[in-house]
Amino acid sequence: MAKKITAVLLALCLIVTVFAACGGNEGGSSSQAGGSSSEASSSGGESSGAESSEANENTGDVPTISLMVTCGTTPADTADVEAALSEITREKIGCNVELITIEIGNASQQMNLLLAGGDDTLDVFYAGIGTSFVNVASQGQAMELDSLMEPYAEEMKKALGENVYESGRINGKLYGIGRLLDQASVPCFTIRGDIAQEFGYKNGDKINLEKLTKLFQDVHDKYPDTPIIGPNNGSPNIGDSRVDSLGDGNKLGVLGNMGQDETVINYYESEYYTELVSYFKQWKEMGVYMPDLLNSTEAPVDFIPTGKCFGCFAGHFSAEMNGIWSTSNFGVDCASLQIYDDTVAVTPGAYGCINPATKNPEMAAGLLHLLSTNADVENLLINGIEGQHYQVLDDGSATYLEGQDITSVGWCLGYSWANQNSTLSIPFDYPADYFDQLLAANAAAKQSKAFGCQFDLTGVSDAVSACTNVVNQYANPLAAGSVEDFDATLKKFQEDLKAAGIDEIIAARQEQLDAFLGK
Amino acid sequence: MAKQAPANALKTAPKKQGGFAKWLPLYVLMIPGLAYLVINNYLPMFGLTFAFKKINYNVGVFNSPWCGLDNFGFLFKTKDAFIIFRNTICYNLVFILLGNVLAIVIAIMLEQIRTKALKVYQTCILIPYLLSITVVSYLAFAFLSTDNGFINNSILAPLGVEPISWYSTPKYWPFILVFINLWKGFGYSSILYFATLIGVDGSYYEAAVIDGASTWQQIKYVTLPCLKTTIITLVIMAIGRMFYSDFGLFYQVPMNNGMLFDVTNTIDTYVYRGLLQLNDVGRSSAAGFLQSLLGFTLVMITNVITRKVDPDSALF
Amino acid sequence: MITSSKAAKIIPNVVLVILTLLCVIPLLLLLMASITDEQTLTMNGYSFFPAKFSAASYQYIFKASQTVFRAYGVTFFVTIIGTACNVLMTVLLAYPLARPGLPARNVIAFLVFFTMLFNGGLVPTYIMYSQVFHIRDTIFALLIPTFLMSPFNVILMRNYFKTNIPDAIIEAAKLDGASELKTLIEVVLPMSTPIIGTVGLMAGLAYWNDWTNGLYYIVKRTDLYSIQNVLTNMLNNIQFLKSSAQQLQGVNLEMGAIPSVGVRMAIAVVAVIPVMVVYPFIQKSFVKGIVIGGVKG
Repeated sequence: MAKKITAVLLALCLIVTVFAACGGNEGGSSSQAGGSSSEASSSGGESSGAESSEANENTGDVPTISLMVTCGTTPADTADVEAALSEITREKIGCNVELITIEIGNASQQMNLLLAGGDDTLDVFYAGIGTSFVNVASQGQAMELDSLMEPYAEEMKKALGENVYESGRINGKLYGIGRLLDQASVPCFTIRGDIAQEFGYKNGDKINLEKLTKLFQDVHDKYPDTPIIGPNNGSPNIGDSRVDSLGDGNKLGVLGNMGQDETVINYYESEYYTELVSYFKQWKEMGVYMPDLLNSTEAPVDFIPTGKCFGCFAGHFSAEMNGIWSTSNFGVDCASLQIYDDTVAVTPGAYGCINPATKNPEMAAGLLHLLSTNADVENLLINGIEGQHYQVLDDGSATYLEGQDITSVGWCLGYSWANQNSTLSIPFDYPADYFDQLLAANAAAKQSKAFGCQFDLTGVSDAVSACTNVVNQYANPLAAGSVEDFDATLKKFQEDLKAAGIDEIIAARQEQLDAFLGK
Repeated sequence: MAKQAPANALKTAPKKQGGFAKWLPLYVLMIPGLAYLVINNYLPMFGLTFAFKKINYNVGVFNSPWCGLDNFGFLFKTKDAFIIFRNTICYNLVFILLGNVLAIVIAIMLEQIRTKALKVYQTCILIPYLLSITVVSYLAFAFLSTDNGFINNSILAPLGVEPISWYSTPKYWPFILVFINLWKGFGYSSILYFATLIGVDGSYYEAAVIDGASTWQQIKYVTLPCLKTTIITLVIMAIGRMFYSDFGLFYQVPMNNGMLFDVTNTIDTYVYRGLLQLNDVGRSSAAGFLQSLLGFTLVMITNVITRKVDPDSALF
Repeated sequence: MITSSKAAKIIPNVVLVILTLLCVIPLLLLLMASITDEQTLTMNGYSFFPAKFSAASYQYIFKASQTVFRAYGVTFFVTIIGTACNVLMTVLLAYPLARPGLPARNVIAFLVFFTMLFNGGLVPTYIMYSQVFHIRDTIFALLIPTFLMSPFNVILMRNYFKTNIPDAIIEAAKLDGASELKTLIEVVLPMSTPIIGTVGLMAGLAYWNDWTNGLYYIVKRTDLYSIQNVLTNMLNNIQFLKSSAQQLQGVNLEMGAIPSVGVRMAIAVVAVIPVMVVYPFIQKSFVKGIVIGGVKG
């Protein structure tokens, strides 16, 4: 017995010592790696070209470019889609494609690690999903693309729109290719269809805050036991399309007047916000909020169909489409009412980037080009393989094959944040002209003056941390009607923001905006 | 302290004239464990330098420029600084004190059970430790929810008390958080103490009984002295974590509710909220470094005091 | 063992029964919530006597039963191997540290303790394991980082050796000519079953409950996911999709069909039950260690 244990011990010692020996080299080799990757990216095209041909020889095969895709749960048929995709890319750019599926719930954590220090697991990735594009670029995690994209630039500008393509510039250099998707979000109130109809509204109707309050009052008088405003995404989620929030969900410094002003203002002291707060107060006094709204673990899909609560706030490029989406997903007829007349088109939220550690920057650039312009590629990524994962109906929209649904289909990512150009794909379970409507909505929205301006707040990040905490403390309780004294809370909110340094943030944004506008 | 330790070693070395060869087998035994510590813990400590750097992956983490103490500023930027430090320290003090007292009491009780029920108790009290904090936050909500929570519906309503809006009333939360922390952790720590108690030599008790000691006297003069080292060790180790807080307990259980920030905001939740968007390795390293450094200082002080009072129980 | 009167024995039993109930009742509530119909749960909240039952939560979890069972397999494998290595390494490090007179033992104890306070952080650890040791997407990724040995357990075990193993016993064994290893295995370990059981339990639970290693180090080989990975991913994704639904308009999920609160509860049940089944067997070690040799402290 003792002998056996001794033997096991010795073996273990040996293994660990070997590990330790490897560990000894660690400092040297990884700092070398850091050095070489910086070399590769700073010396640009030529040397990386040499590297890629070297990689070719090494594998004796077609090189592989890895591409990040986001999904709800890891799909079963990744290999099939990879193969189909690689068939196209081998012909067009001479490489295979490997898909790295990132489950959306883990995106932030995984992206943070995968992009850390010289890791080339992801050649092409989307910044803005669980990461911030500006930070990725300023921390040196995205390659400078100007020279790489040059051969494709014209065509891509045509496909994505010049404003979208150019929005990936930081300090004049292109670090990512903006994603083409809805640029303007319409705040709307989604309410059960039969209730809306009863009070004279239908899906897609316009309403304003005053009329909405009247509607709440009427519904509440008739059904006093059912609350009307439920949570969405963990908060009341009341959007405000009268301002451009400059890519910051916390609205630390915004452009008023549909983004047509050129002066950055403090949203929480603006009349936009004070007006909203006065409505929150009215709604609270009317008693139309769901109790414990902020702590509810339920989503609209839980409480609207069950009749626990009639509705919630939401945002979509079109209120009508939001109603259609809600109806099909909640399993009960829903109507979405558009709150403000106009919308503001703002800077895209995600960017296709190339990892500086990649061995084949040219091919990665080629892939970005394909993703922007090639409908087959986008369609494969979004809907999968025709006949295996979807079928096209007579009207031109796509849907599941007979007998399949979300639980059995092997690939159904849907169009999402992390696609370069979703508008090229076939609308899945949406009207066939869905993407035409999306593009029309983009065109109809007022383009913010700050469209394409990437704000870098690292200089004032102490203030950003502090203000974020303050907004967390007050904004949701106010919007959820869970404070007692609205006026005093609002005042305290504004004071705390000042103390936390919101003016520094506004000044920094103003300076960068002025530079962007060429003042 | 670091000076003192080698001095000790020197003092003892000449006494054992057998020399190094005598101890060699013992050092060999330690190799796997120490090697693992080197790999898993010491090598990544180059990350501690991140706290003083402005990280730029383009030039590599090793060559990123130094930035002095810039990364630490955000912790002290607002008047929240006082609140987050106060909350972190006060909760930890209460957790350490009540947690250990409760665990010791329960361990002593467990030790007196001689029936089969012991197994049942032992298994059941560990259940809360096994539940993830997310699930615990759901359970808490099941009890505290305003409209259909147990406390409001099944306890307060029959008594004719008005329902309480728990999630918007900060004054209850210090008690709720302490209760949940104790509930979740007591099984685990009482088993730690229980394991030590079981190893106590039975003859001590026999001798005490012969001397006519009561139950209480046996506990006082036999049990507690035997637990002393374990108690001191666990407390010192907990003191090292004094500036850390269980993120899930302070973020998920109160559901990140802004109304409760005065009593729920700790260093970790503040850092999380503040850096969520910035994704800043330098700043989060700085926060961790400061938390560790302060904890380390406290541990050193405690250890020196322990060494003075009772050298055997000192950690090192 | 403390000797006490009959009356004094009742108190511990009463207290422990109350505490046990305090721990079991919430689990029972979880169990009931996991088999409650989702709509009933939304409308009426949690109840011990739900109005309507449904197995939908478990159907959802086990719809990919192959994945779930394979993940159970991975977890069992990792937990068993990992715990064995953990206990072994802990004993080997703790025992010399408990021996009086070992030169530099305080320095080493300090170095062990130091790792509990300071750590380099996730990013450097990840860079090291993935780019130097290349353990990503292998089973070692689940075994090695963080959990192979805990400094906390080393110190606990050293304490136990220090207080519960009299020096005289070790000296006696050495006089008999036993080597260090033989003394450890044949004299010290048999007296240390309670602490070995405890450390094994702690290590085993850490491995069982871990999902972080899988999240950080498993990128492509999702077949290596542990059960906790599968469950937490399910949880994260449901939560994410349900809550940010409006921002991901295109994700065509028939979300009405996915029970969210119930699934959470079912997941907790599925993760806890195996531990409840295995734990009583570990308890066997929680008996007094056997003293070998005639020497008593």
